[in-house]
Amino acid sequence: MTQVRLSDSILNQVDKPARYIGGELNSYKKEITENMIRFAFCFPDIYEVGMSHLGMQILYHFFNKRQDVYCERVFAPWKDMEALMRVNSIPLFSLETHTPLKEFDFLGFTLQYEMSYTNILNMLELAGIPLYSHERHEDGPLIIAGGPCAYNPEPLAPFIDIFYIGEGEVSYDLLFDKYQLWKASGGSKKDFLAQLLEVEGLYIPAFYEESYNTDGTLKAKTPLHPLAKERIRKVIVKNMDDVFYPEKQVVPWIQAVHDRVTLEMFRGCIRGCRFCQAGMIYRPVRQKSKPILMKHAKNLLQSTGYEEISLASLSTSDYQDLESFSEELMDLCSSELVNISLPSLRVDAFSVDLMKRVQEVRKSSLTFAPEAGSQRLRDVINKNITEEEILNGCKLAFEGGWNRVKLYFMLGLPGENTSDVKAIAELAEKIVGIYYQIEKEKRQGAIQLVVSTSCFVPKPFTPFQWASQDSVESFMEKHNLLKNTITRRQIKYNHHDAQTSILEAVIARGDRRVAKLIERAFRNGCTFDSWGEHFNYVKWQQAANETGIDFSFYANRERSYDELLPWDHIDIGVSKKFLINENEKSKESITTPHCKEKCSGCGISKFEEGVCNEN
Amino acid sequence: MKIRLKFTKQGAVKFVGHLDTMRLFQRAIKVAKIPVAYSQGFNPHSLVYFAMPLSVGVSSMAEYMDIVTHTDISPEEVKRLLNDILVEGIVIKDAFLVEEHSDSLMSLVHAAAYEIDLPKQDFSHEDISILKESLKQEEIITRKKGKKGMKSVDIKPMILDFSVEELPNSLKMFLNVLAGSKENLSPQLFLKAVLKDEEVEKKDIAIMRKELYTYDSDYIALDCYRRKK
Repeated sequence: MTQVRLSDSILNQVDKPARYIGGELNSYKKEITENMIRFAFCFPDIYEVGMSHLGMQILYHFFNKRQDVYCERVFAPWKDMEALMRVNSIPLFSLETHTPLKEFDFLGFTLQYEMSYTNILNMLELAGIPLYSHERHEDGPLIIAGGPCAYNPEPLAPFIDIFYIGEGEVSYDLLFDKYQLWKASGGSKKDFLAQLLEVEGLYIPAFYEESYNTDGTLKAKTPLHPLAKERIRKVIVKNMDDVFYPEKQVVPWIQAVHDRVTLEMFRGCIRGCRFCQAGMIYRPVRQKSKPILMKHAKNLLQSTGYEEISLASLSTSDYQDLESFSEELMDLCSSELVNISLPSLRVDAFSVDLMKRVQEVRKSSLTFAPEAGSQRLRDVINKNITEEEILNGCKLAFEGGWNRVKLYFMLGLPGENTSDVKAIAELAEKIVGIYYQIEKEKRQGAIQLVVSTSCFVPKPFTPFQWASQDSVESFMEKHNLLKNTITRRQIKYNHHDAQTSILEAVIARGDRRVAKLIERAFRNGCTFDSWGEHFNYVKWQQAANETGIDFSFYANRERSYDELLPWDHIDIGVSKKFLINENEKSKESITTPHCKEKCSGCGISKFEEGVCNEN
Repeated sequence: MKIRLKFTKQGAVKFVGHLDTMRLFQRAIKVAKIPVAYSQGFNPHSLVYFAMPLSVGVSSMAEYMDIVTHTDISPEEVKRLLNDILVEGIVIKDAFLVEEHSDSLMSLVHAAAYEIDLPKQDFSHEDISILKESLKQEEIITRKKGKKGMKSVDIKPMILDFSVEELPNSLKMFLNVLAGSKENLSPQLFLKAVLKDEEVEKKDIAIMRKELYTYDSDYIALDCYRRKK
């Protein structure tokens, strides 16, 4: 085993050198034995971003629970460090043992957002590993990728050996067992990959081939091996109370984006917003029971010394025992002087009441996501919240002493017209109006209202997966329209960059040909594309010209229902029929009730677990 | 009660900055279940105080911190509990009681001792003669970043003691300087001034803080100062 030695002079020259040293509180230091599987968990972004990621914390401890596996962490080096590594020929290394990535058995990349893909290629290059799987031959690690973006694996298919579709706790033990047997048998990499064809949730892209029609659409995805399944079904945890959850979190050296205990309350979401991929791919809702959550909370606070705990889920206010759970948690936290943070709340009276009780002292800003300004458009996207509920929620928050509110909206949703855009401004102005209706004594100075808009990106496995995305020009017009419609000076308006959103759409719904685009953009110098200051649209356009990829074909083209989609071979449990039905309902602004109200027959009940099988 | 700890910061952990080190200790104290006292008010914080920040990249054999506890606990126990969980490179070497209402650690610091290693491969004979020449001067003027931009300072009065030893592969310097909130000479500024090299940080230099001193008619190492039985 070799060890990468970083000289002091290199670490002295970079910003935040603690990103590169390892050895944090609760990180693993294992003795390396001969039959140990070396797994490098790679997060394709910098340390502070990656260390905030719950999935990494879970899998890191889950893997290391096995004596024959040593899982280490790797992050993308920041640009200053990358430059010094290239000049000094330092290969990318793991934090725990500073081992070059080449010497690992597996590199596991987590795919959290499309704009991190060039960083994956950059990390492989920095490690001295060929980008394409067919160039890698027998030596070097196997590259595995999972996470939400793995549900459409095709844009990365030529670079990745194994895609893991679903929740990591289910199939990794089997994967490691098979690896040990294969290693002892001395077979080829191809033998091992073929053996994985029978493992649930694994997709081996080398055993499939894409062909295309003359109009550029996908013709077929053909299995090339007798054991290669036509469809790969995701794997999910059946019982959230029995599933592994770490007792510790690695406490980062430097302040991470989310620097706190993360308590996962449930997976899945009952709501069914039509733009939301997470709401579909993580179905069905599976909750942890209150005693289990309290046990995790105690363990994690005790082992980390953190001063904040965050309740993680897709919609925390939908937790079944929230009332009594929050009471118990508040008792624990106030005795330990720990703050509770509540992300992803709905704008309703219940949520505001919860916020009031949880944040008795410090009034941070409240964040709500109505997503659309008009009731009609909120019905189109099935947001299932009325204007009255929004205004009432804000009123309660103002009366409770808040004066800073952030509102999130999306522009470019299917069926949106100019009056819907203007309705965002109207809603914001009504909220300001509500604030000034409150007695002056109860108000905390002037209201600060921030309206943020993102650009709608149609995502695979949503009812809007066939939809056309707005062009850059159309997004910019809408930005201007909204900016000019907002008149009150208490309202501040921010918007996301439209060009980034176009590329997200190209990659999110891309097929295997899009891999060339990503590689070329990387060769042209694109990395850290999710960082506004490093995103370079011109270089991406150049890459598109050089590879013959037409952005509008992937982003702006509306698909027909009978078109074969690049991700149709992945089975998330929710049926295409349901998605079509939802898309049709959206065109008539008809809403669908949430899963606890009424089952809408999305198809996920075949997994025989979760909310659809309660009672 | 107030417990004073002396600890090391060596190896890779020297690249963890001062604020991050403080945060690590605040968390480690909670994990170790030390009965630390908290301030009153809306945002209670644990009563943990550090003697003097250590620059990123500098290692130390003599960092000091005070912990105020709400119930009695033996210093030896605090040392053991923290060493059980602390990270590689940070080791509590000594723990002792001090008077609860004594002067703050920060105000006690008057001087510091450093050991500096210059590897010969990174420094020429010319560098070494520049260094020796600089130290002979009556005053050593250098430029330092102050609140109002760059300003000139004479660092000579802040150097209490200096010696140098030539080893086969390196030049070892022993440096005693004024330190603390009134007057402070950092070893990096010292090197910049005596080597006349603005980019000295890009070279492989190992700096180690050896001790912190207070002044009470003479310089006294902090671990010898007013220990309570």
